[in-house]
Amino acid sequence: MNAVDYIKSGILEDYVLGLLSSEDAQKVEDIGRANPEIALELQLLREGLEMYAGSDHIRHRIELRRSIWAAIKKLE
Amino acid sequence: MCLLFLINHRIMYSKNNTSTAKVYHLQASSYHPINGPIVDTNALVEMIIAKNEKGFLILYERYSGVLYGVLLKFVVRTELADELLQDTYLKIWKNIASFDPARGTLFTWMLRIARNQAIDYLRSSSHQQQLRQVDLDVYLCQIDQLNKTSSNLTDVEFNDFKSKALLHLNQKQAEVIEMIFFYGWTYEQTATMLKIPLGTVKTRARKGLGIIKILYTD
Repeated sequence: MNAVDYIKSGILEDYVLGLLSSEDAQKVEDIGRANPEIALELQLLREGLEMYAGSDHIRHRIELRRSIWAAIKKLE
Repeated sequence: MCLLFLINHRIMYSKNNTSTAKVYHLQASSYHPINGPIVDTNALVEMIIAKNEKGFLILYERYSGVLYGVLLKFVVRTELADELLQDTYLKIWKNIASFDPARGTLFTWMLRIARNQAIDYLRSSSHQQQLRQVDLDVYLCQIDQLNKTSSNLTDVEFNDFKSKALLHLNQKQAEVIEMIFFYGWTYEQTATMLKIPLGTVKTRARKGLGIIKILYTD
């Protein structure tokens, strides 16, 4: 299977969603390492999903960040 | 879909499967889309192991948004999500040495911790006590109705990119991605719950993800 067909197969989306078995995931990683086009596709799928799922709002809540850091300091 | 339906099934699944589905990803690149400083993930893990405050700031900057989004999906209320985000970061901090990059990215490891924190909370006696006087189904479905859908409540918190993406994704694609990514369901479980063929679930998720990728690269 060439890179285009492989990308179209949907396996990269399954990989990014975390739905592959460890064996299948390992195969995807090996193929990605050997093929820059597939590696790039994987990277864009993953980053796009993370962007979709993220929230800007919370990052700007400095008080919450400070309170979490204070709680972490108490652990030490 | 009623939020309760997703949550209750997720809790039952969690009870029967103490180890959540393994998620495998390529090693994270040094670039991250959520405006985090460009620090390699391995270097970031080392900083956290060394109890470095800068490491925490990067970890918060990069991942608090998506972790908070996941928590809010489960508990709906922001004050609870605030508490659970703190618990999640504490757990990450305490357990960072057990993170194994060979089994997945830091991000997916953290995502599992956040989901489990939310599920543990929903199973807790304090939460159950709060709801003792109220039929849980009615209660949460009413919340859904008040806010049109469960996701509308949290959409307020989400970034411009998601708002833009939701204009391009159809509702069914967004729903399937939601169930798989936020709640951690498999294709098979999603198909069972939605009572649609497995192939349809796969098509919706893959096409939806393809749309998100195109919007991201634009």
